[in-house]
Amino acid sequence: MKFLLSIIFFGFILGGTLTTTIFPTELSTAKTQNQDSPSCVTSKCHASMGKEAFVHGPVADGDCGSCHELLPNEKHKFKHIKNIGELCYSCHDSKATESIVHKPVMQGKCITCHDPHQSNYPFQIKKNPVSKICVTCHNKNMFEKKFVHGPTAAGDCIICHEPHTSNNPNLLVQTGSKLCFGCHTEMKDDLVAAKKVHKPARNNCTDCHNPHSTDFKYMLKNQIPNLCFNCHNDIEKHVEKSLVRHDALTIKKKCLNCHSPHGAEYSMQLTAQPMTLCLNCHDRTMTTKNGEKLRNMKLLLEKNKAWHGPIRNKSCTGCHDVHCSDFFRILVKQYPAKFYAAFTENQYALCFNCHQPTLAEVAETTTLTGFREGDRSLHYIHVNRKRGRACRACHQTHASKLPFHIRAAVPFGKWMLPINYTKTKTGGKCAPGCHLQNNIREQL
Amino acid sequence: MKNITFVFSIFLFFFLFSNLCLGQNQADSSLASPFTLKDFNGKQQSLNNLLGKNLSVIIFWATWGVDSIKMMSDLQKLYVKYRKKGLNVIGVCVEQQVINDSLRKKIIDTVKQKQITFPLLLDYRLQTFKLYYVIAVPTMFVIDKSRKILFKLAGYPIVGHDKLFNFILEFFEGKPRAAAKKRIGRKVNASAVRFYNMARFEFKMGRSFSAKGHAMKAAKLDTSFIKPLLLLAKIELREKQISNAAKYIERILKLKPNLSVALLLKGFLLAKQDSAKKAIKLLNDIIRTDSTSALAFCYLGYAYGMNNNLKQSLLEFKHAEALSKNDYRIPLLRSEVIQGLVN
Repeated sequence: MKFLLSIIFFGFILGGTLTTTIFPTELSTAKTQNQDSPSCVTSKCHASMGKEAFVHGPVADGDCGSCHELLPNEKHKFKHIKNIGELCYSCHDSKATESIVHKPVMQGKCITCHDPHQSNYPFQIKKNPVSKICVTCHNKNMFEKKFVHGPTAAGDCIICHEPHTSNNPNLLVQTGSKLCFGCHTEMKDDLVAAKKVHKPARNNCTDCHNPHSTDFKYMLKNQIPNLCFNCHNDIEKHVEKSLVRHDALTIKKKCLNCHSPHGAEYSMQLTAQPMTLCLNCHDRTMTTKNGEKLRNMKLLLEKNKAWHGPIRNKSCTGCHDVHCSDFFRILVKQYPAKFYAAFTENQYALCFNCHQPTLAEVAETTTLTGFREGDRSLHYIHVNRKRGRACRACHQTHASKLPFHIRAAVPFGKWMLPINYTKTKTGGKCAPGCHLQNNIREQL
Repeated sequence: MKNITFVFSIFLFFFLFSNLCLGQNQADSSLASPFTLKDFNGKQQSLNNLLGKNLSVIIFWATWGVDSIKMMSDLQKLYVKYRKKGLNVIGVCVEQQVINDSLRKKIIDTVKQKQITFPLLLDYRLQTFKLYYVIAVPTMFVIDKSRKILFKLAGYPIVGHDKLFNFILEFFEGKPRAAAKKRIGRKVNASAVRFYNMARFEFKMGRSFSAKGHAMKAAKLDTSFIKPLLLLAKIELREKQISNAAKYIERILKLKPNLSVALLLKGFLLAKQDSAKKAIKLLNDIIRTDSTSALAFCYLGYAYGMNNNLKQSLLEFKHAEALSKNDYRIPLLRSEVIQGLVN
């Protein structure tokens, strides 16, 4: 009995298989509105239907009538499908589920992107890569610039954009930097490790980068420094107005010579400690555009250990504006460039940014300075006069071998005039050199 | 006696002078000298009375110093935040040697404009300025309730400023969460990582075709990068291209012979390729080294099933289930085995 049943079963299966093998061009189960009419797919009519890799369910089933309704008393005339979306949603769930809906989805024009019958691509999309469909509506100029983002180049628009609906603007899969970190995981790791993160890197990468294509390297929206100046326009104005500009702004990586655009360990996303950054370049003698020689600062600091306060704090910015200024050597404020200068408070604005201006204004003191003879302020005597000695006359502004970074010698024409500052029981003396036997009595 | 006093004063001078020349960020173990100064109302205030319960910051400042004002504003924010936790900020104005009424008004106006609310004192004769050997403003001393100097900073340097504020924050909040350390080891080509991530996303979305393309690019960009190869094997497996999947697994095992994920997949693929006995041997070897892998038991069950040993197969699936109840692959493969054997 079992054997008989198996024979019948195999016969049935074999019969079915043979039918489809012998008559492959005809969908054997083709159904239309009128069951008596011939199949839609024959070797002469709609012959290619169902031949591609991805076939719509009803087509594969030969159920053409589920979408195409035959007109009454007609054999090959069909009702016009007025609302395609409605027809699709009679089987498929609505795709307009989120707050923002792609226009074709909203208009029920599913066949803008999907072939209703068949396609060689998944989900019966009309073209592959999917970007070929996108550019039929969206301006393709924005994808054709010199540097193209990977997914854009690969035509994979839907890696960032939802094709149907999303809760995010521009139908994005996710908002802000989160979207980018989906692929740029190494950047995410770097930012987690960074102590100071640039705001756009944390919130929205597209503030600086174009997600599609651009004419600038690294998909930047503009070239540096113009891109930086979009937000940091105070720096732009400052640079424009200033007389002296730091060369670092215009050479090599410009702003990125010192700042990391994403994240760093130091404030203002400096890539290293401020002074280390400066000494990266100022570790050799340099010549400015005006032909002035700049000293090898690294060597100077290595050889002279009595450093000026800001240098002890590893902060060259205490005196220099790293971008630009109106004063020589990009100093933040006025400072006499020469050995002699008539005293005014403004002349020494740089020094008096941190040090007491009255240091050179008060003739008698016991508290303002230790550089005194009794209660006579020797700072006052040296500086506050018509032919006043500038601070640089006695102090080496960066570093020297003597306390309070006092100079060993002063350039006096072709002669390096020795200061010969020595501490004495009564204070100190600068002789022979500037003075013969004058003593500085320190009264502490 | 005079000589002794003189030697002692010279020693004191050099001692204090050397302290001044040292890096100012370094904590100083010395004590902050006590002082008494007048506040804006003319009332005498002593340091001891103003000390915070836990921590105090003495800032020497002046209206003529731009950085002084910036630092005052920064400290005001800290003061507001930690006042209740025992922080006090004491502003000592060292405007000039002599402070007359108009200067006093200027100071008060600046303070009002900057909305400073912490105690402020006027150093009329710069005695405290001298006492603390202040050379530049702003100069800050962070002291504890016993006046021990914990931190000293002059000026407004970028790094020093951060250090000072971190010191205070750490005092009240404890050590901040350490930033994640950078991964150590071979750095994978960044483009390969990006393509791999794109492939992973496409695979998750069920788009094997695109996923395969991206994963192949990733594997090409960095030939030692294992993850795209593993993904390619999984894609091929999903597409039922068993021999292709096996090729990728072989490539992975050449790079990392003991990679357990690859070995497991190899066992599973062997079972699928009618080499159930080899699969059983391999999977048993894996289980011997790691008996906690539910997936190994699951694949072993599948391999026994392919070897027509239903009883052992069901037993291995049971082991797998005991280790991981919710792994969807266990019932899926078990049903495949049962169906295969029934048919």
